[in-house]
Amino acid sequence: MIEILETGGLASVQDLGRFAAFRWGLGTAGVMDPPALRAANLLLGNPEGAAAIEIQLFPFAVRFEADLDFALTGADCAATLDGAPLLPWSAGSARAGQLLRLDLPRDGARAGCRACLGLRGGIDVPIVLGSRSTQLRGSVGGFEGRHLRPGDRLPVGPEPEAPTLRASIVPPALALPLEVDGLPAVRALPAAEHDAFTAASGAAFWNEPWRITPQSDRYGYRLAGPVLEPETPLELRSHGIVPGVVQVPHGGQPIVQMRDGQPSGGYPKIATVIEADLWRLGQMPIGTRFRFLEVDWEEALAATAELESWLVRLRRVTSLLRARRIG
Amino acid sequence: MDAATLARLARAMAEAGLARLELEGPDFALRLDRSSPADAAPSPVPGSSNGDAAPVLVRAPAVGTFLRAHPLHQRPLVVPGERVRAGESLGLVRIGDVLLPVPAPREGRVVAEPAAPGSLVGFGDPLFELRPCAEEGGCGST
Repeated sequence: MIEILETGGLASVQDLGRFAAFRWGLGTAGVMDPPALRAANLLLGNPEGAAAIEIQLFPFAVRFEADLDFALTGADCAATLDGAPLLPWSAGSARAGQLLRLDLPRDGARAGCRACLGLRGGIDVPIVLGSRSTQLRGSVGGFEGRHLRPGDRLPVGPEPEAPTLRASIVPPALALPLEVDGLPAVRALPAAEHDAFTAASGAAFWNEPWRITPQSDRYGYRLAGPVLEPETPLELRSHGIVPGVVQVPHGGQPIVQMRDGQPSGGYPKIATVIEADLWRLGQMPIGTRFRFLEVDWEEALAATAELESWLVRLRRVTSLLRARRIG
Repeated sequence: MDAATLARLARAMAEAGLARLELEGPDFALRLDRSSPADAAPSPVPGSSNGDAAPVLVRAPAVGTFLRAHPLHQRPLVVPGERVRAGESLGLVRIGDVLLPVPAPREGRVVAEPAAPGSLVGFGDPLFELRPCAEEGGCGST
């Protein structure tokens, strides 16, 4: 059991997401940085999809009510345990009564903006429709279907068999870097209405940098950049959309749907950020300038395979090191 | 384990140029050292006669690449002369994308770093030399 002592707000319990209820109009939710969740759980010996706390605003502090191993991945946020500094992307052991504190993430393109705090055994909130993720719209899942508040006490599940590996991980931002012309990039596929935009707008979308505006959160990222114009005004009926879809509402400034996005929408879609790169966007703080890199279906699948092979290597090395009783 | 197996392991160590071999099973633990005379006496180190305890060698926990800083950071975890607490990470050994911390076995002051950052180190290679504090808080200020 841990107790939340301090939170800037917007921290929530998340796992990999709720994919079984999408057809009933319930969004996926889930962590914004799935590789960070998997890495934290790999170090802890948990199933990779065990629920953790996603922290978006800092400072954030918890007190351990019993001895418990934890892992902190995602944003590199100068974390300390009773004042002693912790390595980024690492697992540690807390004694009962100790205080874990996360501060503002460092500046820098690779520091990230969302931290993932995993606990040995995983956070044991009820599974709702196949997931422990917090779906704020409708208050489904997570801890009472809401953001965490000071005084909340979160239980952990039974201890896994594998011991915790007290090690750190080289984050995918370093292991799988992606930059285009000096800016971070995310790969995207042209979407259904891509060709309904003017040729100049299409070219601007792929070639110009985009800035993440302050109107950006887990629901979606509103971007600022060149105005994108359709050849003729487009009217669409609402249709199913998924995280990663880039819509262009009237006004011509795109919105990228993120993990808490609605399952349907009616704006024309110019592109879709590939699933393998959604974590990159999820770790870009407000104000970041980035580029879209156009890929085709095959390249999108290759990107998924590349991310998966990073995980496969991680699983292999962590299990090798566990077998040697290190950590 | 019989003598023939031990002899075979010793030969394999010599052929591979290994200095030490540690093997652990459910009901046994084996350690073979093939130390050269120079390595044989690690404890007394020159300069330890001024009342301080002798330096302690902190060794690599695994085969890998030795790093002084986390890849996300510029700043080394410790610099020579710095005072450290027991359990504090002095450096890292990178195996694939996993970084094993090299913890300080006790409180003390880092007096030397025999291994070059970025170099490949073997299990048990000396990475840091730590001068223990003669008494509690005896390391003075940094």
